[in-house]
Amino acid sequence: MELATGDGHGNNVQVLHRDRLQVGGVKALGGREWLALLAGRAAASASRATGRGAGATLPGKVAGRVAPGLLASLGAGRRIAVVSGTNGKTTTTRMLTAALRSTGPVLSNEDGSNLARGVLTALMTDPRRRLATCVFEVDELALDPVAGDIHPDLFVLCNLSRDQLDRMTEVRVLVGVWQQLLGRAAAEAEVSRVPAPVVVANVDDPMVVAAVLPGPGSAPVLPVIWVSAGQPWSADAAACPRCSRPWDLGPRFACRYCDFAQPEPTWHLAGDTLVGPQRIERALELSLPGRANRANAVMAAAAAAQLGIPVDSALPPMRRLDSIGGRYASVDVAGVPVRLLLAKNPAGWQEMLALGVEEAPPGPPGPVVLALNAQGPDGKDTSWIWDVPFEQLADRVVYVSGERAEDLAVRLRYAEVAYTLATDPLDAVSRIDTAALGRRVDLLANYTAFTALCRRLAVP
Amino acid sequence: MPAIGGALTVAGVRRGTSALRIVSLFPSLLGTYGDGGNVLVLAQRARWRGQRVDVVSVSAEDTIPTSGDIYVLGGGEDGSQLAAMSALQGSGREASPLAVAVEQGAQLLAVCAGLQILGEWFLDGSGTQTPGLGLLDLRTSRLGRRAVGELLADPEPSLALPPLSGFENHGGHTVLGSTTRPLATVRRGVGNGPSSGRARASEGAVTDRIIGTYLHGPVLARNPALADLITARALGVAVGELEPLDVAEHEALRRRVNADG
Repeated sequence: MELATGDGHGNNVQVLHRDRLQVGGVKALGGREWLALLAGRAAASASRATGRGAGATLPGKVAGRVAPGLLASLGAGRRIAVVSGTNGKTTTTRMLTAALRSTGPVLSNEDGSNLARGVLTALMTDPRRRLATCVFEVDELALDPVAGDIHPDLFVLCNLSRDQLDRMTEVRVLVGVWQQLLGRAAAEAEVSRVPAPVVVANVDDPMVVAAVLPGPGSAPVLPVIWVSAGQPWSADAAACPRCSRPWDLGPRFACRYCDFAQPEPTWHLAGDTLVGPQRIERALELSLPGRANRANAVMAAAAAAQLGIPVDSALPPMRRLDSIGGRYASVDVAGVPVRLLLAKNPAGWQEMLALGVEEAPPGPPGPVVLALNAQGPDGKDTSWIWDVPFEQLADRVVYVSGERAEDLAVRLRYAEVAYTLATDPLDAVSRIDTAALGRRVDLLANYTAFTALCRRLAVP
Repeated sequence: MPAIGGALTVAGVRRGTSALRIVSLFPSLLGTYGDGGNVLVLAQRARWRGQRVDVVSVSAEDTIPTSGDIYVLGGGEDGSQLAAMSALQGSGREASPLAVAVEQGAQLLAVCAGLQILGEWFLDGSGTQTPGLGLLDLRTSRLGRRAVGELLADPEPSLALPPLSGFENHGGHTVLGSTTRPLATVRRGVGNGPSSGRARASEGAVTDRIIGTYLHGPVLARNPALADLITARALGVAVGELEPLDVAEHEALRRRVNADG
């Protein structure tokens, strides 16, 4: 088993050995599989004809039912990177895809449909497997079955924190699932006598580190490139993820009961500067705002280097990204400048609230309109809003909207943040006198509230 | 209402402290489901009534003070629950400081994993039985299927509380001992889980010093009357003696919950 190491310049690098393309075996599609492809496409056309839209998942859903082995067949023989984690996976996927496209075509589920059927739908656009390189965003829980089918060559693991606990699972359970799937990938590589897949992992998230270092000891289950991408959210790491005993999560973590400790990173951020191996130092200068996106960029740059893209080729296309599926998009709502922000869980809301403070010019930050829903994809339990530091909004003009506006209102009352209840987020925007404030409005919404806004505003 | 301030002062003097001491037990270990909000609700309502409040956050490595007025335990994952249990046990043969505090008259709110910890024993997700603190006569095994969803329950009549609502998300099946009073009777949802000989499942448990519940939301943000009951008990006054607070947001939220059915 060879260990792949990247120097970030793409020179003299052991870049994902070609032998890995044999994992799982490449063979021509069978009759049943071609039938499944046709069925998936027919379903999409029928759906379009009835005005329901093709959807980014319908072809994969239908075809996967007709030929359950199709995902494995279409994934075989390609070089595949998967990006997973609670937050930032869509943006990191887009950044990595942009970086890789500097040298050739790349297949990706860029719309963010990140379950098996979304990955399959993307793969079905290239049934003859002409596109060798793929980058797929994969849901944290779906990563196990999807990776079992498509045998990724590179795992990019961003972070893990609490998210939609009514339908997902507790964070430590996810860590266990990831441990198992990475262990299985290592075993498969050994049995097939091919180089093992490589992991690019956020060394600042104890949950991610625990998934890669199942222990005992500090040997990773797969070759790993550690990236210091930060993890300001610490509430899910109150106890050591390996031995469950309480610890003080300082700037660097090390359990004093077991041998679980934070490894040394190969890549890190120093302010806005990307620092990598072989004295790489480059200003990031992203168009996308905030700490979370700098973290996404350092993960993407490290992954790109591992796939043979030097940092000076990777960064320019990453810098040009200024909106990700509507996130961070600037729109004009009846003359009011608005920026759309998406946050799905407490760690995400914390990042987005911090964004307003981080960017604020001298003087108070601009107005913010919050929109909170609680449909299936959002999670039906909104208790987590009590984990979000809404107290930070005390000096901002705040409007509250969405299906769970009343729940947010109680939260803000106890945070002693003055707010106005609005029946509709765009109505709230139109009521803000930004001319007087001279600032743009941040519209921060969770998933279904955000997608509804994007549809109404025709974004992206 | 000066009479209220007077009552608080009397209670404070009686307890040898002028501030209401709220002890948040292991907020990071047992804070997975937003239950930290319960401490904020208790503290803010007391402050809005002019009461001085000390919130003491206790981590699993700290010594648990026995001088608190109200102790709050939340819900958490299996591993966190075991870590919390081991921290609560106290050292060697000494009684748990939490048991000492309750014995001395402190109030205790325990949610979900916190409720299970107070019983005789509980089973974790792997089926291992762990002894609890034994402050409540109840035992927790596992439900066949995890209970996830809105929970609505009618409180024990003597508590004189309006219906309780919240969100439950647990795999625990809690069986109350014959002398243990349930906090409420389930109208919709699972609560403690099925019990033989009862038409409707029970939810949580209540004594004159302990309120145990499966409700998140957090429970006190959804049910401010329950917060005031705990506060009044801690101060040794009747709920009616607390200064009424006008927090219109609670009424709007109650209407939202009812409308969503």
